[in-house]
Amino acid sequence: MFSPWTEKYKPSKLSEVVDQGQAVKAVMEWARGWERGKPAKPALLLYGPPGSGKTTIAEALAKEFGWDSIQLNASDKRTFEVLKRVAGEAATTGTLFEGAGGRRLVILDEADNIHSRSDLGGYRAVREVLGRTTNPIILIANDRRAIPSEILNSCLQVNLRRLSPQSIERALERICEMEGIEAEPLALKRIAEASRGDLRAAINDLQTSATGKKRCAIRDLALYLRDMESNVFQVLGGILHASSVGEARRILWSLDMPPDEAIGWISENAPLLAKNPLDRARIYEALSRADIFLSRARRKQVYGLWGYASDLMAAGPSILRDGETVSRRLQVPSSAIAYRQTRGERTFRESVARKVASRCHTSSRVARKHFLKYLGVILKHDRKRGRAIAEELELTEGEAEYLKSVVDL
Amino acid sequence: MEDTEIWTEKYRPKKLDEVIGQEEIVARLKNFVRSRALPHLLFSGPPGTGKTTAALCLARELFGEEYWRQNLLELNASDERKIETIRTKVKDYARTRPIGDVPYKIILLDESDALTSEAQQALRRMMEMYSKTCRFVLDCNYSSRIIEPIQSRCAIFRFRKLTDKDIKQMLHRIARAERLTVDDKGMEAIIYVSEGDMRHAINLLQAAAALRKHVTERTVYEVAAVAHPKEIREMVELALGGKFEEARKKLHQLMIEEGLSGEDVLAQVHKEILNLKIPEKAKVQLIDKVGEFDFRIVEGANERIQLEAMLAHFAVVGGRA
Repeated sequence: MFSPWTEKYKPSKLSEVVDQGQAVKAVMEWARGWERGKPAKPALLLYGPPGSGKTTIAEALAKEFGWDSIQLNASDKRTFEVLKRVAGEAATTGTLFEGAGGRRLVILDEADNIHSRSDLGGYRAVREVLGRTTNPIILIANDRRAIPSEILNSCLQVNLRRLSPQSIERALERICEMEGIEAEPLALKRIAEASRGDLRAAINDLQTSATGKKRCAIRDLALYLRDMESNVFQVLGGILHASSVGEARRILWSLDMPPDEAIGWISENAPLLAKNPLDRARIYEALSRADIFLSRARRKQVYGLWGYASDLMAAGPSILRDGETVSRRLQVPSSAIAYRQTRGERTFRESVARKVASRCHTSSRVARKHFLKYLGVILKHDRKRGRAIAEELELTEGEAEYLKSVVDL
Repeated sequence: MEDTEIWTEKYRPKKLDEVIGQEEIVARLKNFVRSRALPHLLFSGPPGTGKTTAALCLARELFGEEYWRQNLLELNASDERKIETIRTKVKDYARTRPIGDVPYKIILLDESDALTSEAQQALRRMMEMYSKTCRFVLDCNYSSRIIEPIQSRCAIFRFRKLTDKDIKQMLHRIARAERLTVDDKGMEAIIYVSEGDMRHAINLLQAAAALRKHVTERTVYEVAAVAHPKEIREMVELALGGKFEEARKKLHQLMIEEGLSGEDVLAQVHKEILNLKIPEKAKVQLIDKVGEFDFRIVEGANERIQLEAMLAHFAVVGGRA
């Protein structure tokens, strides 16, 4: 039977957790507090990047203290009903679960991703529960700044670091040993580096490339890690130099990518290859028309129109070009990367805009345009009034920081 | 209204009589309050001229301080993109009876010209269906963007652009209350930047006052530059100068980091064209292109690709000029 190695090799003792000694110490200290009664901070916030061991630590802790545990996803609305029930239930659970130490650990995952919209209902529920809980609660989050400060204040906050490549490598070595796999050290190193401190991702990568084998070689890896992108680049190169409409169409079709995604790759690269502006404008005109067909197809749900869009985007770049090309490296769509990089920022911008909109009787569009920057100036330069406004809008720490950060004054 | 530190809210008029610059409209709305007979209303006019304020004041006077909040549902068409969500909210709201002795509730739909004509048809049916228990107040910038059947069911009120004097009056009132001084040049600057939009003017004043209690021309432009970066102009100049790739980078930055919509970018490009140092004939060609790509986006095309295509055309025009 297939079992994911991330589960199979998950530590069941806190002492086995990789690379988080200080955090583990703080967590044990907090749990001992619960053995004596209700500690000053009834909840624990574990925050840090993906794959740094947050859930693992929470689960190992429950085992080590003999607590029964229940895991809830905070972004699920039903969670709060369960939460309210569990929070006041210790007396009964103590007798129901013999030997459970009388405690039941509640693990609240994705605590930075509570969908509160404008009413903040989700966070209010958490705050209430934290106030009257008789059970230990662990909140788990990637981004601490997305959590309102009232909640932060009632939590003991413990930060988990990104794991070092060396300790990931060691963890992978141990797994290989137990699986009886002979691994090239360089291969493990490569996986560890590619994982960017995410042990879960590294273990998954190891399993994908080594499962069912006795060896894990660097050769197997390279193929698997970057397979997808190289294929796109090959196709793209072909399209940009096709000599007939038919050839361009064939090449694009050989790529298993819907046209509304392909147009991003083509528009990133094709126009920059044309040397003279007139060629570039012509190519863009074809892409613009292709894009119009895509939108018509989407709106009217007639995907037959995709054929015209594909042909225009495939043939436009090579066939409509009269002049020379410049040679340059092909790129991944830059705006896609930028979008990924600024995702956090955009989330803040949208959530602040929504709060302003509902407070000031307007739309988030107007809020973005005529409020955010000005509020940023006020928050940054008039601390007293800024704080009052942040409170009035119920801004999280992260949102307030975001507003200040966009003001260059 | 509980305490607020956001001046657009703090100084928002509470009574119809306090609404600035729309005397005739106020007089007619007061008649409705007096007779308690309210038709559906369509408020059209530029941003920041008092449409939402008039609707809020109307509700307050009609239902009284105690009940107006429960009897008013505020929706924003540009945030509730789908007519389905509007329908559900209206339905849920219309189901319960109004509180107090006025036999109907008010539904305020802001930016209603953001709705497509199909969505407006659905809105029209809602207006019919709930006309016994609800009155609709529709806010929009242009009444011509509202379909005929809705217009014919509404009393239409055209809010005029506020004069410099109107805005000055308000800003002076705020300055007195907040113990600020605004010198004449500073006042002129706020009026110039805000272009008759009261909300914009008040926000600008509040941000300027956060910097200094004595507001001068310099302070105002300092703050205004933060909110309205020069990047649009730079982007256009790069494209005209044949530096397409850099222009495109600037565009991505504006849309991704600054969060400008395609509509925002086009509006500002359109405005900037007149200030460019290029032959007048070239300006006409550029405006034609801006209009064409605006239309393509309105039809539902992808903003990024269309705006990039526009920049590519600018490079051609710039090369000829």
